[in-house]
Amino acid sequence: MTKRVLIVDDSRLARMAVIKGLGQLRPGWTYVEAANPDEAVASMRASAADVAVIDFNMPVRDGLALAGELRELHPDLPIALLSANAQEEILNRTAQLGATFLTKPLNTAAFGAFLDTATQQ
Amino acid sequence: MSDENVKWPVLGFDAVDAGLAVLDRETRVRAWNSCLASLTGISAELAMGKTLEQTLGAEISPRLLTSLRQATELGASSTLSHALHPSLLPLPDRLGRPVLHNVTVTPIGELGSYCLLHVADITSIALREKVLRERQNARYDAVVDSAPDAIVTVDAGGAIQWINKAAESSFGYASAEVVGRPLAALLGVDGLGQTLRTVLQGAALARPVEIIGQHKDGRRIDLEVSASRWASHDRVFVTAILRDITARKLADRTLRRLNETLENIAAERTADRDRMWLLSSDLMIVARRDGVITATNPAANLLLGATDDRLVGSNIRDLFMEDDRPGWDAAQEKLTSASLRFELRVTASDGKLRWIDWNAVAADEFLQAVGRDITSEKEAEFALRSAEEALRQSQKMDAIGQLTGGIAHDFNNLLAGVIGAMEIVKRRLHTGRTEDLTRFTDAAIGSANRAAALTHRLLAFARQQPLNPQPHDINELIVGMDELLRRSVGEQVKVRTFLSPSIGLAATDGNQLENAILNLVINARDAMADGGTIDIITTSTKVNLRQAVSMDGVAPGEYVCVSVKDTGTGMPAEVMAKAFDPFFTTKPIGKGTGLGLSMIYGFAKQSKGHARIESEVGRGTTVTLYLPRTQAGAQPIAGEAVLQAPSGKGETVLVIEDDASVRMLITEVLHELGYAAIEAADSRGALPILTSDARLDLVISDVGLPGMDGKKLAEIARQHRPTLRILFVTGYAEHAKVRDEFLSEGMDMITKPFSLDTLGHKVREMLA
Amino acid sequence: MTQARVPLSELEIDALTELLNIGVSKAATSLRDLIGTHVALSVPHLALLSREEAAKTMTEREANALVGVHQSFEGDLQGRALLIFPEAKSLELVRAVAGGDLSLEDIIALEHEALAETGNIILNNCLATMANLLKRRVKISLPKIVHGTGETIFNIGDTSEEGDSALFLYIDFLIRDRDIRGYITMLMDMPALFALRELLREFIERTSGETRAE
Repeated sequence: MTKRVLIVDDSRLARMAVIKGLGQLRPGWTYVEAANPDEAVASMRASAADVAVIDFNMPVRDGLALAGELRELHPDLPIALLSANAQEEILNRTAQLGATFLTKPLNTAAFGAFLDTATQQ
Repeated sequence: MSDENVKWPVLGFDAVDAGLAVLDRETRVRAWNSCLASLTGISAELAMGKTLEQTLGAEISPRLLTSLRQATELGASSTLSHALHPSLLPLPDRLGRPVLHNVTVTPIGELGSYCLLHVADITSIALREKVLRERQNARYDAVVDSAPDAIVTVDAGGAIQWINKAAESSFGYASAEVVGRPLAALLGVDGLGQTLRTVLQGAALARPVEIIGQHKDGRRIDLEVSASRWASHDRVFVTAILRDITARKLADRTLRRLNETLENIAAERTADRDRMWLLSSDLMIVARRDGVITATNPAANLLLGATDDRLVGSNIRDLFMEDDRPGWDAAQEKLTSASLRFELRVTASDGKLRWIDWNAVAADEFLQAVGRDITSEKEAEFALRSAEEALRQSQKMDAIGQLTGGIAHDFNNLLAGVIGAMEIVKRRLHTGRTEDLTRFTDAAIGSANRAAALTHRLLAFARQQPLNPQPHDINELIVGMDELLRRSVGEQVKVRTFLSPSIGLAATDGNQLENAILNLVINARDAMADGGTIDIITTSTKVNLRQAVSMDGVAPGEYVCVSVKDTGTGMPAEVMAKAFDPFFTTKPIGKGTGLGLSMIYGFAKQSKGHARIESEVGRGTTVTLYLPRTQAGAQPIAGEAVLQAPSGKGETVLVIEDDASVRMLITEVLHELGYAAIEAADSRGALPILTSDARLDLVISDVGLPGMDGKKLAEIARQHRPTLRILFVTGYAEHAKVRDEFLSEGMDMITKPFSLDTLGHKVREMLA
Repeated sequence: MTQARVPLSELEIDALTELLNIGVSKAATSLRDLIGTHVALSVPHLALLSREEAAKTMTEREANALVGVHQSFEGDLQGRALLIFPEAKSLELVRAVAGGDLSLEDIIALEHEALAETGNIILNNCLATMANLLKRRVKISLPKIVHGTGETIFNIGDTSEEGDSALFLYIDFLIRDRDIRGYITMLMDMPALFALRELLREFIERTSGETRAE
């Protein structure tokens, strides 16, 4: 089945990287991009995506905050948090939110694993 | 590479005073120098080929591993300092102390292949520094942590780098809360900016700076700040000591406010007191209890002839006239916080004595005296008394003097009545209350009328004519007074009359006699506080010449006597001698003016009679009035001085006399004699008349006139009127002088005191 | 003398930012491991300026004295990387990384070392990441400390060597509730920039699978 992926990152390149990975792992899936948390929330309201991939390191509201918001709107939404900043605290909070932590630069295998779990839901 | 060329680097490698190792991508040891061998205690042989971890036999820190990896993979160099890592490599202790070391990792050789591990033993340096620091810190900490004052260190940017315990408790912040923040975060206010800048520039604070800070909970804290700058490792810091002076400041403020209040009050009081002190015309003296003067006001200085503080240090006692010093001693002893009033004389700057009415109090250890100069009042009193004395010096007690006193007293009362009523009217008018004013104006007019009557009486007296001399049957008169007398004496006193028959008639003023007898009876009653008996006795007697002399100028002849006798306290000889003196009284203040007897005496004299007292202490007193016996319808037997019928034909006499009453009397006499009189009070008033063409037949002039004296006046007068007759009135002392010096043709003199009779004679003589 | 600036397209800037983002994030992780408490980092703002412009911007942002950790790099990329702090903040950073129990004197004494190592960690991560992702090797020197102002701090070393361009990053560190702002600057000459651009384009291609964008 086709799922739609919400990709949130203020870096266009980073979004492109995710898109590329998605294209490799799930060619059929669609995606929608958001450059900041507000766009992301608006997009989710307009038409809810099935999976969210969020960059942690964003200005104003970081990825975790956004993840929290989205989680409230969609308790079962599979969320991946992307960051090169693999500090303990971030890892913990990610886990608490029921999200998956993925390091940057995007590792294809790890990404694949995440998408698998997302598919199963 | 030749051996030689290789040798040196290798030798160098082992000679370097730092541990060196070369590791490959898997951290396998490729080289291990001697220093590292001794540092780690592991020889090169053992190390070679093994991974670092294997070589060291212990785990290495992630940081080091990362560094090694970054070096070999990425070519990045790393520095790892003991500052951030307590122990990077497991180096064994040396001499029982851990080996402190810094490590750097740098890529070496082909990129991505090897890295160089550099281990520097900094134990000694670090230790030395640390020891130094610790020692300093220990010293510093000991002082600073136990210091009661808050101590804060800030860096050049004003950020707090450290605060001591006292600072934590003073401001309520934990050290961690404020370190790194600006100083204002701790103090609650931004008040030290300028101070910090000053100190940072290297200038010392001239004196501690005071600012107001704030505890975390908002409480105000007053602070006294001193600060100085210091440097370490190229960084500049400022350490400030902040002393909490809140309590002191509060006390200061409270005290200052209190002082200001007190000062204001005190200042006002002081200003008032100062003004009174300076401006008062009353003397003010402050002295110690023993009398030593500590302050005198300008008025006192002026009177006593002292400049400023000259009197300070002398004793008050010495200011008083000698005779009055005992009076001061007595007063001084009696001084309390209630004011004591007394009159004592002081010697003024001009040497003259001045009477001062003092009010003095004792307060704390001082006494304060305020004195009013009543010299002129006293002098007036004395003058009056002297005049009276002078008058009384004469053999004939001049009834006018005595009577005038009595009349003056009455006059005062009447005047007081007028003044009082007028004042009430004035007040009422001022406040617009105009009802009922007639009551007071009537009262005033009444008093004035009575005063006029008195004046009339006085004038009548001056003419030496009885007001209404008639022959009277004294016995009948006394009988007629019987009820009045008994009523006057009250229950406790018995009145008996012993009236001799056939005493004949007495020439006198009936009203006055009644008054006199009533007065005598009342006096008698007063002398018998516990009751007694009053006898009224009438007799007649003959007075011969010898007796007449002792009876003060009474003419010899037949007299009717009225005696009032009491069984009272009696009076001693010296009192008796003064009994007829005006103002003399033994009665307490408020009872009797002392004028009664003198008026009676005056009345007796006026009646051409006499009054006499006999008294014995404890037995009683008898006052006897002698009145000339007369025939019915006959003229009274007069003395030598007889007033002749006026013979004047309009002659004009100029009277120059500064005493108004004397002048008035003289004028009356002149009028009686039928002359016209012009009055002048002094030579200034007289001169225009003298130099005019008005008719003047005689000048009566007092010799001792104010301004120009009589002699001079006479000279000027004679210039204009060469034949003008002048009668000089001189005092006893001047008599001879005047007679010898300037009496000339057409001039005569008459000596004070003179009877008006004598005056009349002289005038007639000169105008004849 | 005007130097033609090497223009980087928006995507290239984006790519560079992302690279440095990753590098700084990794640095944060390293620091966290070192310090033991969470290190929060803001998103770097990247600007490509001339050295003069960089100095001016620095002066505008920071009026007071500055302290910097600098490392030079050579190889496929060449230049000098600086991590700059306001001097007033550097002690705070040291206190943050060295621990709160040290006395002020100790902290002052350790300042240089602590600062050097901290800077070293951050810069290494940035540079290494960049180099790694760009698939190139650089040799990075040991860190050195330099003091200066906005004007002078960029004039260290042989300026002709380093060239006239500056990549200017502004980062906010939040360590132990301490807000420490710092700046990362990479000074490179023209050839280096050109090389960088090439590398970036390759990276973009690799990453996004797109052909070179203009």
